[in-house]
Amino acid sequence: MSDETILLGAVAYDAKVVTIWEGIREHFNNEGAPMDFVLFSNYERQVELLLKGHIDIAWNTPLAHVRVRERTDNKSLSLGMRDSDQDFHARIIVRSNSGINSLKDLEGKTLAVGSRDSTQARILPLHFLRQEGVALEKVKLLKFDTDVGKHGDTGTSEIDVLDALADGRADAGAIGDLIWVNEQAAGHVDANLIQSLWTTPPFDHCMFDALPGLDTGKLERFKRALFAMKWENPDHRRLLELEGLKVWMPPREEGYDSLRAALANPTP
Amino acid sequence: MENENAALAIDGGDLALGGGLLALIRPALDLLEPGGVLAVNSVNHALRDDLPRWCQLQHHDYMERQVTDQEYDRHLVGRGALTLLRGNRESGIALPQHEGQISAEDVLKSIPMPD
Repeated sequence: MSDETILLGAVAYDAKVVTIWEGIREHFNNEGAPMDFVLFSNYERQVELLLKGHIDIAWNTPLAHVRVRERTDNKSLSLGMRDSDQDFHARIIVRSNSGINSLKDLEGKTLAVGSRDSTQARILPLHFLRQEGVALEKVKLLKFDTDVGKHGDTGTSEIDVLDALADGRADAGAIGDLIWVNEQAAGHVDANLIQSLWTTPPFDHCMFDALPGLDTGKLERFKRALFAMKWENPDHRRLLELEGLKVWMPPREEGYDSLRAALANPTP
Repeated sequence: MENENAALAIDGGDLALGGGLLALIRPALDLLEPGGVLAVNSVNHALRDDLPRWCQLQHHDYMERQVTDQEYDRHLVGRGALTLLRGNRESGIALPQHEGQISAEDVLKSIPMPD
């Protein structure tokens, strides 16, 4: 293996991750951008080994991305994101018979939330609720800390939230809009029982991160091969669909401001 | 009902996205060529967020929401240019149109429910 090979880190939150990165590796190699990947079991390890220079690029969740930015004094390189990573939202959903008609009504009720490291099902929904004036100390939180380390990628804790509403353990819940819409489309949500009460402000999701000292050749080859992936190409489309995007987008940082603010002033 | 710019319209009433509305939207979009526009009339306000996100995930084009003077929303959805072809279950179905609209009753008659 030559030194020109880009070594990319990703977290194995699902079996399809292997298929995705095997396919992207083949595409990169065909584009003259030799690449290999390393799979981690959690984002904390991936971030540490990126910072130590053991991998060149990390495919990071928003929480991992913000940590990399912070640990590098904002000097890390943000390389690209999915179209679907931009303007992500979380939802506050409620049981129809809960008597919750406004966010203030959450006080005194049980709110189910996802894993403590899930941006969309815990960190940002609680941050935005506090911004809206909800006294979180008056809300009973039912916490589902499942798959900690995966930063909510598996969606398991969000399914736990939906289950808690369905069986009445919770009056309300916080989940990402990806799971909310997908579970509705799959017919897994009883629309007579569970409804959407509120949509949070938008925030951005995953990002490719690298250290500022990344070899310029690797950097340019990575960006060229990544943005050469086209939905119109059936070979590319298969991978893009698996990874949940239509087009790779240039990076932007403003979509992480709310997460930075939330981490600076943690909620319960 | 105003349906200019839309080839088809459906009346979703107060149906939620996962509460039966998709059973109307999916076959209606299948009737359209890529780029064709479907109007979804609805009084369900949750659709204001749910429908654009569903369109994004399914690679359709959520064009705009128009607020009518009759207190319902009119969502305009363009069939995505690169959406996947319909599955076997829906192939060969010709839904009758009534002045540019299809009815829920016809959809339910024509498309067998999954086992």
